[in-house]
Amino acid sequence: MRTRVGYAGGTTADPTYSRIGDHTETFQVDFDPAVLTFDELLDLFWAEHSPTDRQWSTQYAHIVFWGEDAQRDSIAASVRRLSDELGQTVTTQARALDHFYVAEDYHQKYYLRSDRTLMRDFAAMYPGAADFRESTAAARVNGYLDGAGYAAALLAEVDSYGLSAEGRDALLRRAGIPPNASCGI
Amino acid sequence: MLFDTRTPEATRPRPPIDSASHDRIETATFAVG
Repeated sequence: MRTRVGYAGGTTADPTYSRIGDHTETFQVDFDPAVLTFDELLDLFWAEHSPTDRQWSTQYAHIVFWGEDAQRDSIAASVRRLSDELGQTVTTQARALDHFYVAEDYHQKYYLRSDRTLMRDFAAMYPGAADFRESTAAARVNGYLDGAGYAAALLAEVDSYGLSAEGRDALLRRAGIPPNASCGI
Repeated sequence: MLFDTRTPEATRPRPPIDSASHDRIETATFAVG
């Protein structure tokens, strides 16, 4: 699993945060369908926003993009299902992905960047910005710092993140877990 | 003199979870406001 944030959906060439033009702030997830399916990701997407709200802004619109026909078909089926369940029109857009523009480095792994102890470890593992952005460990730590996930799952894999003892303790502390806890909690 | 733009060497090994998950198969793209 890897993640990155960026801009998509518009026509403005080479968008940036200050010149986003007609693009929308977007994120990508690289995933292994043997572990997590696209339909499961779609369920999370629908649960994370209100799909019948009126959309006021292109920059902050709700959009699901498809990259291939199978994704388009899954999206269409899930929109039909959701619309039936809610009895309302789904206003979230579904569109073919034309081009994804990776956002500036300072937007990537936003929560992780605010932790100096953890960033010392990640800077030592990934001196290059692109390698850091594409790191599975960085994506997972960033998610836990944002309050996602479960304590037991974090404890089960924290030692695979390559952190120093200080970094490990900082992550568990931020996640509200005692540093000497075991994954049986 | 020109600036040295080479990426510095890593001083810690890359984490095991990264090397275990490099067989990317699919990409999903979302915007959630």
